[in-house]
Amino acid sequence: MSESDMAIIKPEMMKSYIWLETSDGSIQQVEQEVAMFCPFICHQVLQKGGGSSKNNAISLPQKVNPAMLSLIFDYCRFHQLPGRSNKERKVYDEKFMRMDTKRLCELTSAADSLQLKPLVDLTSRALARIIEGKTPEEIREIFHLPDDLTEEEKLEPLKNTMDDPRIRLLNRLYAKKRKELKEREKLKSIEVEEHVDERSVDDLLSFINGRDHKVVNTSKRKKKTKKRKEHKNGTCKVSNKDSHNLHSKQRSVDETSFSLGGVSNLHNIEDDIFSRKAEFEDGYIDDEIDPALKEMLDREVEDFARRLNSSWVLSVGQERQPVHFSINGNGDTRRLTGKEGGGDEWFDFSSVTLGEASDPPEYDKVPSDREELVLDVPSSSSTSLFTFELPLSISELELLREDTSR
Amino acid sequence: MLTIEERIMMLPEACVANILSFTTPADTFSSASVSSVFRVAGDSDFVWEKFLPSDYSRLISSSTHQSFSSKKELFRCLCESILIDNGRKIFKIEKLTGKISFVLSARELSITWSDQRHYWSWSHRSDSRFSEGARLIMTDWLEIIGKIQTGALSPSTSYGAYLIMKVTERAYGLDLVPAETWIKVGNGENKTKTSYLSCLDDKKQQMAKKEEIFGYYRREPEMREDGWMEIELGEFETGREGNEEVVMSLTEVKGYQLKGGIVIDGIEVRPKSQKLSC
Repeated sequence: MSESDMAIIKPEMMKSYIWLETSDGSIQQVEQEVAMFCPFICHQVLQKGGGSSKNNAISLPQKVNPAMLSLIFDYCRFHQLPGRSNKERKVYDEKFMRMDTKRLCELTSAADSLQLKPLVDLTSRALARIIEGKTPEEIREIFHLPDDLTEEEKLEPLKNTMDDPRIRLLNRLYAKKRKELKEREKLKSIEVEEHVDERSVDDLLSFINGRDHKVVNTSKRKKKTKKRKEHKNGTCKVSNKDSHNLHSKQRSVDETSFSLGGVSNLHNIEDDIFSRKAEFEDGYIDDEIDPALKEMLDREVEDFARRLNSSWVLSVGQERQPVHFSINGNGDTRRLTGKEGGGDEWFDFSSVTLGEASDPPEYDKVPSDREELVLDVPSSSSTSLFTFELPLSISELELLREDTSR
Repeated sequence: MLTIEERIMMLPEACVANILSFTTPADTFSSASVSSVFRVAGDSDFVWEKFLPSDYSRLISSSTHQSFSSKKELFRCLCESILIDNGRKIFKIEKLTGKISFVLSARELSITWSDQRHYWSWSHRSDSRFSEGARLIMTDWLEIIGKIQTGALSPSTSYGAYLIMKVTERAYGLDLVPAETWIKVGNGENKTKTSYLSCLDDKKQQMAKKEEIFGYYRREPEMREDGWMEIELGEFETGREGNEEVVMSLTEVKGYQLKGGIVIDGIEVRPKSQKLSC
């Protein structure tokens, strides 16, 4: 405290009091050394000269009612004495914290508005112990919190960060999956549309060398896009152009798959390419649609993940450091397996090959439960081990949604 | 309209963030579905900064040039294993607990005689997490030592150290005498345990049962999820603060026989899941 500040506190009034007014209008006085322990009051006294008399009482923030104030001052009265040992203080604190949750909350708010950080931390720790391990419903109940999140928000806990196309894409894929789950309930009769949306075919089947001439062209175009990305420098931020690319494709996928017709179109194309007509007959849609849809969606997810990660990885790898990511698809969908040694989490990306226009389609070799996807890596990638992981896997997102993220 | 209860217990967002910072990353992730206040608080940089290790900026910059728009995103990135220190170590944060774990590469360890070409061979392996692993050709003196600072790890945590290795088909001399493993923190004592370097195959297991040689529990390498085996070297606890050196060691020097045919990928230091000291 400076000289001028000292002048405010009259030396002859050793036991001086500070006048305070609480939110309900009542006025009381408190020993100066106790009250000054609170930064808010300290500031008011020193900077604004308040609290010196009944008429000049410091009005306390709204959250501070008389009950809370007396609790806070009990705390201050104990701790402002410099002679206390650390052990004494700890013991006092433990005892002090024994109160019900409602009071803890009130006390936290009150202490926070008086800027009394040690007490705020103390109450916060106690509340943290209460929260730990509880589900969102339980937390809402304990704290009487309004359930003010939309269903949408609950299922989509990821914040949309502006610059990360991966997270945006993940959100969209997740939104798509949710809608698909909803629509699955309505799937009783399906009108199969003949019209094939070319763009969705491109997106989903770009890794398969299609018999379709158009597909071949677009896969070549994709190769060029990738190569352009390779030549980009340094920063990993996917440029606007690239993210627009991804977005426009994503949007097309969204549009097509949101319509039932689109969904079954892809389903039909799947038939052709994989030549498993025996299993997916048109008439069998009711029974087969679930695994087929699921697989298709999972394939989309992995395809997008692969493309995003390849651009991410390529721009990261200036020094060709093998940065490790691991792809976590749904637990029950297939995983990409490497050629040798690698276990569940890692796959050797160099063993993965995209169908070039000249290569024979590899999909014929796909085993019956579709365990292996064959994708090609642009030749300039490092030979080191690559695996991919999205920030949150779909299963993790689902876990978050089900509030059982433990 | 809020009920009286709701109004009384309504905490400002900053307070909620403060509370969440005393919980775990798992709780903070799930807080996004509690209410709008919790959601915003749970996304705040204030909370995630607390969950990040103190040297996170150094760690991130050495492995990627990506910029992050939030500390939460940065945290998620660190939950994926990243190579640091010129590819000699792997760093990872366990997502739900926020605890740090490391894998030291074989190059980062001191393996006696590993510079001798006819004793150890270094090569790239496709199943390794690092750029090279060490394969024992032959030696009679097997000594592997790894070191790490407790300051680099999470405080107040129980850690276990594990030697990541494999036994090749043409291994020999490994199951005659068990190896000794120990861990020493700072100036503390080291507790020595023993472990065999290879597992008994079925034939030998049958023989062992017949002869009842092994009256005690025979420790053997255990299978990991990534296709490698691991031998637990021991466990230790990190204190609340401080920075001590942890020395982790496996030696097999008592048997005079020549041994060969093991591959070392590194030593993993990871939290032990059961108990956590506070």
